Amino acid sequence: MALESVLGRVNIVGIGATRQGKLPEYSADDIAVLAFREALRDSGLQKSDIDGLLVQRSYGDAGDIKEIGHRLGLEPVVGDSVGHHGEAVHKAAMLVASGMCKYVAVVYGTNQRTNRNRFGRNVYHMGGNFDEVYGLSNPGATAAFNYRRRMADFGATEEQLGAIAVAQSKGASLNPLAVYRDALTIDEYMDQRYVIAPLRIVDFCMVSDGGFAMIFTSPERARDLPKPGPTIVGMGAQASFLELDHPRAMYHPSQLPNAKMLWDNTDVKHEDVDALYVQDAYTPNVFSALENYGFCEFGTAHEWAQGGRIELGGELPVNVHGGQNRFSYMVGWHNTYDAVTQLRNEAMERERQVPDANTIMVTVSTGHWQSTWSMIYRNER
Amino acid sequence: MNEYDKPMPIVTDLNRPHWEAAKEHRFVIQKCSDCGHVWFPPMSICNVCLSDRIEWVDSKGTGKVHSFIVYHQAWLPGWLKVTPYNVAIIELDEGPRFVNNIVGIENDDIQVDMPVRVVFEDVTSDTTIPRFTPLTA
Ligand SMILES: [Zn+2]
Repeated sequence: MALESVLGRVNIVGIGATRQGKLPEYSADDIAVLAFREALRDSGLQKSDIDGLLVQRSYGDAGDIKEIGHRLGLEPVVGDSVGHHGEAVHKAAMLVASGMCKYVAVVYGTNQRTNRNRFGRNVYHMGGNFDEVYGLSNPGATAAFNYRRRMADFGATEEQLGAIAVAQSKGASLNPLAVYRDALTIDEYMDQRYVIAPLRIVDFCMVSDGGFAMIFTSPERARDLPKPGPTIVGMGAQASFLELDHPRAMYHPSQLPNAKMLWDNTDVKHEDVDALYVQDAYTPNVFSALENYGFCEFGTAHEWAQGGRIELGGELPVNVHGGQNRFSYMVGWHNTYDAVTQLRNEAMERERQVPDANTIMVTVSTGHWQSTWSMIYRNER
Repeated sequence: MNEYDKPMPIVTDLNRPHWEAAKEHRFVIQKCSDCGHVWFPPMSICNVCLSDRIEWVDSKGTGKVHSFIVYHQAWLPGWLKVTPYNVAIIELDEGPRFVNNIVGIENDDIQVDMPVRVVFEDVTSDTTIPRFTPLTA
């Protein structure tokens, strides 16, 4: 066993969200501050209690740690930039578990929809403008390459891929925070236009404004707070930089070693997981995660996920908040937010609560060929 | 006369040998003189052994389609009017994987693992862009 010094020693005691979608009245930094304010209120802590602050930069040069720290009026022990939600959660956990900080807030805010900041064009490292010369653009290309390969390797169909958008749209239709709340049928999915075939428009994440924040502390300190929250009982990490050179490049390569670290170091078993959240900038990511984390055999997720299995009420609800194509494009932050909401039994509105949710797994990543973080959150009674 | 209006190669010191060779209808890739690793697109230092003793070598120009996608929407100038167009990951027989296009075949007929070979499109009097076509074509 490794990670004993962290697992079981860190709780999430506050979560905050802004409205999602279009927030033209706020700057990205305003949104980050508002998300922090909501998480602080939720935790019952005083602002001066926060002695660790981790902020993810967002598009358009927003989210600078010095700016956000100043706007929050904080003078914490640690105040750092992070590159991703997964990095934020892992580092917050390490700061708390090491004793360096007592209460760590992690924050993200963006107004990329209002600001019309789009994704960077670079899909992967190509040393020059080979991508433009050959017409490669939009990071969704990675998922389209993945699904085409899956179709060839395992006979997967476009209709099978539709199960993800259908499941997530059902979840979004029940989520009051979701940007798009129309539930799609599989026929409606098949009628959507291609963007990068074999992917259709609803296989792609949206671009949206919004923010999320969370506060972490030790289980001992958590006992004195109104919502002592779930405990982090599993963590996996794996960076990945080889991109197309990786032998498994088509199948989200960083998740496999990440999963080994996760499962080797936790007492949680697959059957204990009540819900799964996958960072789904593009829907095929869900199939990769189901296989790489061992919920089904490699090459079978497109079959396994059929028949409502990944929907609310199914065997393994996945992305019941609606995912990034229906809920909001929040690069993983929405996953931990909704996981904690479910674990607190606070998702009762419009019957979207996962029944008896006690253990939830989250996996987030920087991209299809890139680095991955995973976490398991559990209510320790 | 049809003017080529898609993005042109931006030639740099790093990639110049590739584009110069393309004009001669050769497809060149890089090889580490110390460990023998071969790769493309170019890098100035071997990312296996970190040697900077790099040479350009002729590829046989044959390989297969590792995966391919079809753009129905375009973000780049010149590509919009040719939608739907394909982009493929080519895996050369020598090993490197990179992105290119498949020509001489309908998008619907392209298949994963299809054998392909390089062909050269002289897009202007002084620029040639290598693309790939089915080996049987
Ligand atoms: Zn070398």
